Amino acid sequence: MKKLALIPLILLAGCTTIKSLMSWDVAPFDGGEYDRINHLRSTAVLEQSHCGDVAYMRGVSKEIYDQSIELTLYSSSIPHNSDTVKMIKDLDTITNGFYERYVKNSTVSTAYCQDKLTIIENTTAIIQAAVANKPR
Amino acid sequence: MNCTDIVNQLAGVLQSPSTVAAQIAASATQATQQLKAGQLTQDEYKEIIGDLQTQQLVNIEAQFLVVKEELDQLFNLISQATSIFPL
Repeated sequence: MKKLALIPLILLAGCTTIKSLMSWDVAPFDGGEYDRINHLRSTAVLEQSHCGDVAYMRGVSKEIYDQSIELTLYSSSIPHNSDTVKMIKDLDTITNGFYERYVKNSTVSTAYCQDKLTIIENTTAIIQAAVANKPR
Repeated sequence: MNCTDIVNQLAGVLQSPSTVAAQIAASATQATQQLKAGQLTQDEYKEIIGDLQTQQLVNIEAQFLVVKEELDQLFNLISQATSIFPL
């Protein structure tokens, strides 16, 4: 029983050490990063109604991919931000596929465009929520 | 496995307690039905399903980050408490 009672004390005493090991990898909240994620999400939401216009969406796919690359470069420049960068690089593969399809194909289905923009919107929403929770 | 089998399997995941997992399953079901109806090509369908897997991966990574953020806040509180009441 005495040994058990010591456990919380050891845990508390070790917290500072554990924190010093862990905190280096949690970047604080960055408004610029949050704005870029929100911009990308908004573009995906607003352009869904134009999915029937392939020529127009070709430009939008480039715009979305460009925004995604800008976000990757911005987030990568923030120290101790590897967890967020990992998620944003995953998002890059989605936006890159969208752009590549419009570059390589003269016809792209409306359903593909709508599904893809929904996935981009939902994925950015997940990242946005995690970034919003960062320590200030 | 045909489209009907896929839709049946996804129906099980739709009952998942995780909102994101259920949403991903709903999107996969919709894409499978669009393929069946000829609204999506095979190639487009493959890409959409791959993207949904990536979305699930991002969801797991985001949950991990949120746990780290909460631990960070917890350790800050403990640090403040131990500075007031040194062990």
